Amino acid sequence: MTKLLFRPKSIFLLAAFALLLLNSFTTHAGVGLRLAQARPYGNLKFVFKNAPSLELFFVHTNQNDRLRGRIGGGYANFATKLDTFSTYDVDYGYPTTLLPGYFLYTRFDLMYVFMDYSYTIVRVKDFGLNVGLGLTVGLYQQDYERSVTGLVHETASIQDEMGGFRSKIGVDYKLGSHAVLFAEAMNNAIASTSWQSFGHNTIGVGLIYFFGESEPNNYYPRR
Amino acid sequence: MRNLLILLIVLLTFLGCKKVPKDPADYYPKVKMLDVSVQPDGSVKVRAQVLSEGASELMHAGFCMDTLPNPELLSGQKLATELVDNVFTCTYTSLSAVSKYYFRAFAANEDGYAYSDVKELSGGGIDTAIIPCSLAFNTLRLEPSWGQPDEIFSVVEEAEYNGLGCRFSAHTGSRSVHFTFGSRPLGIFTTSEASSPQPGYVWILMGGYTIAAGTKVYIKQLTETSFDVWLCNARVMDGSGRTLSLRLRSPY
Repeated sequence: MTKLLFRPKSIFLLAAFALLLLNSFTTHAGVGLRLAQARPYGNLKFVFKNAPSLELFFVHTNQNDRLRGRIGGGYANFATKLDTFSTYDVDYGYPTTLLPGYFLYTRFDLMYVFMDYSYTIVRVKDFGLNVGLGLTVGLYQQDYERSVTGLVHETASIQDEMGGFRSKIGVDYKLGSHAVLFAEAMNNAIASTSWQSFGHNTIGVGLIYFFGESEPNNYYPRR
Repeated sequence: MRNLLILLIVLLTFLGCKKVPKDPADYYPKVKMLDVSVQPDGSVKVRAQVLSEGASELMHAGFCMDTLPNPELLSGQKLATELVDNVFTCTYTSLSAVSKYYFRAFAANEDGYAYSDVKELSGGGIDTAIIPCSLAFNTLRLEPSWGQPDEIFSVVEEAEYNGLGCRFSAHTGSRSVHFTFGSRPLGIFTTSEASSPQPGYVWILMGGYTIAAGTKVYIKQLTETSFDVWLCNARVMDGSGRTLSLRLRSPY
């Protein structure tokens, strides 16, 4: 995590985080937690099962809670669908021969910080429908073993940067004067610096707790 | 209207992606064995069909073969050179007629490879109906015969294996014939004038003269150590213009 915090790409988000934290004393602010199921797509879906993910964040809103900003961190740990995945290499000798091999993934984690904003497009009583966009940067940790008969046997532990965009659609429900319950579906279009796609969707639920006493008429205007 | 536009943009970010399989097995090709058939020359033709390329482009297809069940990729591997209507074919030669063999197809795409089901074969070997001459058991015939009857092999030695090939001799009352095979004697060989023949070729020496190159020699395996040999109308390089035909069993 220390390594993550001192990455250049993280500095921007950390600065934004600090500003938001300061801002949280002057605007309506709170903290939140989201539990989600990360559902990989693309090449990631080939190898990994759906995984649990956790996000913790600070949140602040404008005066009528139309625009809501979040900044925080998240973690997802993916397990593989198979024990090993077949691979091969080709020996272009005479005759040409396929050399059998396998991949064994022992660890694949995503650790990231994010910043996103959502906009409430419809609000009916205590229910709201919102959409949002944001940025994610972080690290992935991938440990694997690769073997091709007579050619290679290697184990590797890769930790590298990744980043991308997040877009979401969600609904929320106001619980009393301090809390908001929400559910959201999110697309995380993420790639490593070597352009390896780590794209995944998340479907999750969460809770936001606002520090100050909310004013329903201000923060949740009725239509 | 503005809200609808925002909603539409966000929804579009969830769409437009290529649908990918959920089951990892669907990323790999799917292939099944069609048949294993013994050809008249004793070779074995195997056919398989690609049912699905998987989630990426098909790169290779072929077969593996072993005397043990569930052959692995490196056992007797042969790669197919073409795919016609998703069917590919390979031919195995020099297979023992008395062993049981297991064949399994495989196909590989950019993600990996997958096997087919397994088919087994026993009791192969050449079809003797394709042999173009008819001779009695353990007989040697020279033509023109100049009035001499066919000769009978009284002793045929057991083959002595040496490296890839083997050698043995057969004796009638008046002459000896020496055989040197470049590989294990199975199926159809071709005569060679080289005393150290390549695999698939046989050097035959009779009375100090070789047999002309290019004639087929038919070998049908009987057990692990015995086989029948046919040679039809092969020119003897002794200047007489005569041809040699023979049928023998080693050992006898």
